[in-house]
Amino acid sequence: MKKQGFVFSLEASLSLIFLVGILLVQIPAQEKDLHELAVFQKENDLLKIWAKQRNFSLEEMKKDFEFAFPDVSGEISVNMQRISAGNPRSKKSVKAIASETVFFGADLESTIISVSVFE
Amino acid sequence: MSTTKSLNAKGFVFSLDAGIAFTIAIGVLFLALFAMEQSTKESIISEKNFELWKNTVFLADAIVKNNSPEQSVLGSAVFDSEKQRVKSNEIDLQLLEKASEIENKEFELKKISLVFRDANRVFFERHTDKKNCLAVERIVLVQGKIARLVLEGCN
Repeated sequence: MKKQGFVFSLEASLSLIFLVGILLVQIPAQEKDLHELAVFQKENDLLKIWAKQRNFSLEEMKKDFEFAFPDVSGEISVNMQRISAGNPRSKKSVKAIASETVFFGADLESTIISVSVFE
Repeated sequence: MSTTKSLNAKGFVFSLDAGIAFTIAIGVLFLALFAMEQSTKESIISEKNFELWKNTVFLADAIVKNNSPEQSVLGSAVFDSEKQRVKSNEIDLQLLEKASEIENKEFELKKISLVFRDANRVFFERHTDKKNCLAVERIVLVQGKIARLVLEGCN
């Protein structure tokens, strides 16, 4: 007990650990925006326009996709026939925003069309 | 003799570790208050940003889905008089040309334009001192041609 030096009590040690713990905690930045809704709306716009034009050529649809989403990559499918579209050198995607719809033609034949944007 | 007396006397005696613990406690309190202040500031900025997103996205949605001859910023879609319905995502150019600013204290419409494959056309533009701006795009048909409707708002 007569030795000189720092002696931390249990309380002081716990306080120190608590302080270090607080300093290490990183509060994740919360981004509140409607970016995903905006992308979803654009996808739905494309689907509506394709429905109005009644032209389900994948090449034409690919051109429309690249016009609508110039900087991203994505995928279009018509009756399970898939095609990649967009900029393949866009940043690495971690999620996809997708929309799908079913069109019925004059003879009630169905066409399933989906469009996905990779982000 | 006097040293023994002073050690035996009652009163506040702070040891080194108690002093450090107290300093740490004050430090933690300071950090907590600082974090709360930062969090509040971020929250205010975030709310303002969300408000801008909301106004811009909803206004762009209104333009492509509604037909409003009195205030074309609230609806410039083609109206099919035969079927008595609005053709959403089809833009009436004559109506969009009448676009004028909307009155809102917390939101300013900065620009409305159409981007075609081969040309751009601006329908409304005004100068604003507000720095926080956002552009939202919608895909529309204009006289059979596909175009991007770009709406820019600020707050």
